[in-house]
Amino acid sequence: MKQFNQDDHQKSRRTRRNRVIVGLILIVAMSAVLLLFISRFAYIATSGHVGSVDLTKKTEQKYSQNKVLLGKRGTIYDVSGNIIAEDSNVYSVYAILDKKYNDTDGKPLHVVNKKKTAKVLSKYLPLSQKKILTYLKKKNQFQVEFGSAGKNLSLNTKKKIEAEKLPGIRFTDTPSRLYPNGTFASHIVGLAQLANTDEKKKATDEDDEKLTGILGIEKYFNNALTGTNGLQTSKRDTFGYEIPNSKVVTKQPKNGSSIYLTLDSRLQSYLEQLMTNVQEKYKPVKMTAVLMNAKNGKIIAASQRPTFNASTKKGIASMWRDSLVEDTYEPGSVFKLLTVSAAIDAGTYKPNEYFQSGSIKVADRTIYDWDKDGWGWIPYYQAIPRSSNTGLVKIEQQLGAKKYAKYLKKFHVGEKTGITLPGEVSGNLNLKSKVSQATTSFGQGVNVTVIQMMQYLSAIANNGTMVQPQIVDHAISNNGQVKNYDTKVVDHPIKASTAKKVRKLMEQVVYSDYGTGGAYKIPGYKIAVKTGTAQIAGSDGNYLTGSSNYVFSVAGMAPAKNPKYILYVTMQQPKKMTDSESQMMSRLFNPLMKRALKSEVNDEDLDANSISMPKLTGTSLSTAKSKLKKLGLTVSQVGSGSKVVQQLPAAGEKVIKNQRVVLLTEGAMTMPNIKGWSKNDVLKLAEITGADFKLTGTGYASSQSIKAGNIIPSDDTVTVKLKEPD
Amino acid sequence: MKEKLRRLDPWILIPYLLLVVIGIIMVYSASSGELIASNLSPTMYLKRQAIFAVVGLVAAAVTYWFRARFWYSKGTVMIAVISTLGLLLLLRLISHFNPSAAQNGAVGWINIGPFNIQPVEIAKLTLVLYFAYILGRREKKLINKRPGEVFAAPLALTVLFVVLTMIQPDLGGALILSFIAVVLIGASGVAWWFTVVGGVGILGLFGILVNIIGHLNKSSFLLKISGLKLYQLDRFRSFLHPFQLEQHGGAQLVNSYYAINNGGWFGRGLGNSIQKLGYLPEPYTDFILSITAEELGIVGATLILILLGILIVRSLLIGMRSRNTYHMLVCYGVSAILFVQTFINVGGLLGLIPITGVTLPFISYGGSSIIILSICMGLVLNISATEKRKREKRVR
Repeated sequence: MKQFNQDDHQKSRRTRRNRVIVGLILIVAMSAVLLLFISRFAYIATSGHVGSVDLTKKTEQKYSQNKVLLGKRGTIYDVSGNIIAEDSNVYSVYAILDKKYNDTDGKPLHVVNKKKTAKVLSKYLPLSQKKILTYLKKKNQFQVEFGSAGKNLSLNTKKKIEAEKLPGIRFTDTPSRLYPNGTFASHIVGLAQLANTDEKKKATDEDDEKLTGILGIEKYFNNALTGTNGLQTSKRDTFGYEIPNSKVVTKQPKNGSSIYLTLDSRLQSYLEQLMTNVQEKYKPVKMTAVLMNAKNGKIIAASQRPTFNASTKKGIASMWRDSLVEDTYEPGSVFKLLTVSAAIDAGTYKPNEYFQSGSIKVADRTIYDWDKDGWGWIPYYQAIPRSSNTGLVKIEQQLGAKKYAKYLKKFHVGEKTGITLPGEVSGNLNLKSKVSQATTSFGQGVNVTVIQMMQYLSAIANNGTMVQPQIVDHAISNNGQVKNYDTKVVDHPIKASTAKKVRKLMEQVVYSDYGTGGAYKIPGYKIAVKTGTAQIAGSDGNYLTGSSNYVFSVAGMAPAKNPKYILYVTMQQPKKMTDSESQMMSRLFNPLMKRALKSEVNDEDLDANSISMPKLTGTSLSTAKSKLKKLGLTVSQVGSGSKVVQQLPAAGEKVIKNQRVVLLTEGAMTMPNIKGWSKNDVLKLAEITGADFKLTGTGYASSQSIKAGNIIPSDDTVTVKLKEPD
Repeated sequence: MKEKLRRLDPWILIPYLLLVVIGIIMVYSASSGELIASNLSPTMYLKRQAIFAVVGLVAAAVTYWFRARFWYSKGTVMIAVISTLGLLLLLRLISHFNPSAAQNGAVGWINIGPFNIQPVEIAKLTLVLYFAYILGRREKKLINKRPGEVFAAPLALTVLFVVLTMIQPDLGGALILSFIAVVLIGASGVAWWFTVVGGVGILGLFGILVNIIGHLNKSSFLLKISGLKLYQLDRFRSFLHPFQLEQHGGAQLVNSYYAINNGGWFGRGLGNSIQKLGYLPEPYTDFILSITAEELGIVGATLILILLGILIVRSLLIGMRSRNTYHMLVCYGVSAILFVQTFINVGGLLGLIPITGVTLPFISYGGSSIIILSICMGLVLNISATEKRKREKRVR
């Protein structure tokens, strides 16, 4: 520094001053920038906005993840609570191939051994080991599916595959509707399917995840059955974990209502079996059968052919309509019951007068009996048993067109019954000309549905009180509210005395030697029947000819004196007419009616033989047993103790002889041998043990998953198979 | 030696130590979630950052220990320059022969075991040392208005460093180096108004350029003549329209905004950031202040900025008080390193300047950065102590 001259010193001082000034400027500028940053932080954080963008709203959207909580579709039950249709899931299997896909512990979540995986999967999927292997060997895929073979797997199959513990094998579930009974009043119960079967769309649109009824009860009650989906909104990070301290907003799903049909599973299954037999034997184009409780109009069993299997969907393409309500036909001779009812009720029917049978000329047409030669001069009381067209035309003429029309109106012919099934049609009635009045009298030219016929028949069976056919017994909403579907009296078209007289005529159809329904005798019961053979109008308007081109039918009531059941069977154009018409139909009519009559435990029977249950709880097992034996009751015990803790039926309840009483003692709950037990008894056992019982089939217990003497597990289900007695 | 310890400047030492501790905590908080998600130990980066911090402290202590003069001896500076150049050239070789070593499309690290050396960090310090060395030596020439002779060598070195950094490519690093050079030239003793005009001019030019590029559209004339594609300029465009261009480079800024907004005044609480859980990639590096703002609020972010501000200002003050050109320029240079890095990092995550991928001093994860910055602190502390001693002598 000493070398610096004065000038240099001055310059050096200036240089230093420059540096200091720059330093000061830097301090000010840098501090200003830092202050600007701080205020920018404050601005963003407090205003929640950058420009016009609302950050809070954006993050809200960004973190929110909505999960749809599916509302369960209501279950459809039969009258006694057996499941006819229920919600379930089907599963699709897929395999993860990406080798980098491992869990947090480094265990593989992808397919490791392709050969072994293919071999195991081929056991459960309808696909060969080789084909599965080609799927698994696809290159550059994160995951693969196995085509249609890997889809629609049942829970059972899924569980079995899962039990093999194959790494990288995963499942997706799709809601589906389970119809455990297969072919079971299929067109009445109907079908529910995913609204959209397009896979890609399904994933994006939540509404498409919903099952929608497209046929039968499933369609008619779709709104009631459909649950409301809930929504769970939670905040999640990009890894899918819930953000701590964030609120989860849940809108609970609402399950749909359960619908209890009037159908009785046991009789329905039996009907389906009989119809299948008859159909195979005679190959009719169409067939319907309805068994109805005559008193209250509740349909106990009903079906049609062709039909489909609701669980496999086999046959679904061949027939989409519910024939019972959507198809009209000319009923033929069964309709004569209405004509004769009207005449009897109006007092114009003179049973003991005679008429010339065979043919009759009305206006320009000649009407023949089914036997064109007729039976000569016969009394009117034989017109119904012989099913004489000419006799009915004359009865109608004697009644007069006006009165006849009035009566048919009272029967509500040509009107919908209002049954809770979709697509019901009204049929039609035309009484304008003399000819149409005449043909209507024997059931031609008038169009009805099977359900309408059931309603008309109820007036005759029910002493003049006509009830609406009913398929739904009651519905229970998800909050437990019960909606009963009470019997609806439609009208009183005829007097009770008239109804009784008509039934007497129907008895003659069966029991007189000139009756057309001799084949429908059921030993032990009085049966009232009217047969029918209706012509079918061809496409040209003329009736078809040929021995099998008819709609054969039979309407029966039993017991004739005080009918409990009405059974109406129609069979159109049997292709293999190897038997007479009444023989063909009796193969269905007789066994079903018989089973129905036998299954009935009359209220009177119950009253006559009833025993009041004694109180047994607290007493020793041996005393309880001997007490019950004396009363003539069957006893079964659950548990290894010696003191009764619980009993079913409860004390004071009415029981009948030989009924089973289930007693629970203290100690471990052991499984009794339940072979041969009725379903009711098994349910008693389920109730008293509190265990989860699963019943399959109908009838009586034939096998049990927990062996007799073993302890009833608290965490497992006890499966009991029921079987109809042979 | 005891005496030298006594002369430790608390205005540097305490903020420095506080920042290092906050950095370790925030690196742990910001990194653990992502580490868990990728099946790694959640404390992996915590441990590493702690080791870096300790190494940094030792380096700072060593720097402090030696006499200040040692650091501007010719030998030291030359070793620094040569080794920095060597490392930068090595990067070039690595990217040429082993392109797979690139991270995020750039080769900016030299891997040695689990640790990476980032030559650009070293280059910053080397640049400061070299400027100070040359200017300190050729002060007379500068005084006598022969700036050409004074600035030729440091400018050449700057250009060399900047070019080598640009081709990595590391735009942020190159920018920082350029800015440091500009500050050092401005503070070298040239007329202060020249510095002001030059500084404002450079900043204005940058602003205009960013605006022009940011508002370009597909059919712009500029694109046609330059042959550039629009997506290559996404960084600038998304800076001005982050929400519209969220899918094209705007996501980081948008997520940074979300993080700051989530935090509010006092934050969601330490460890409770949402944005670090996959929304902001590598939340423990460039965007660590966004995460800090989310967890500790404006208050937490402000504290860090104030601590950095104290270091920056204090460093300048120490420089201003010194009569030794070398001391002054080193202090200005360190201050410039701190400020420029803070400016580019924080300005970026606040949406005030385009995002260029620069770490926040002391807080962001990274070994080279924290060690070099610690050495810088050691230097400033050393100079401060030396100046104090001089003053004490004078008083005596």
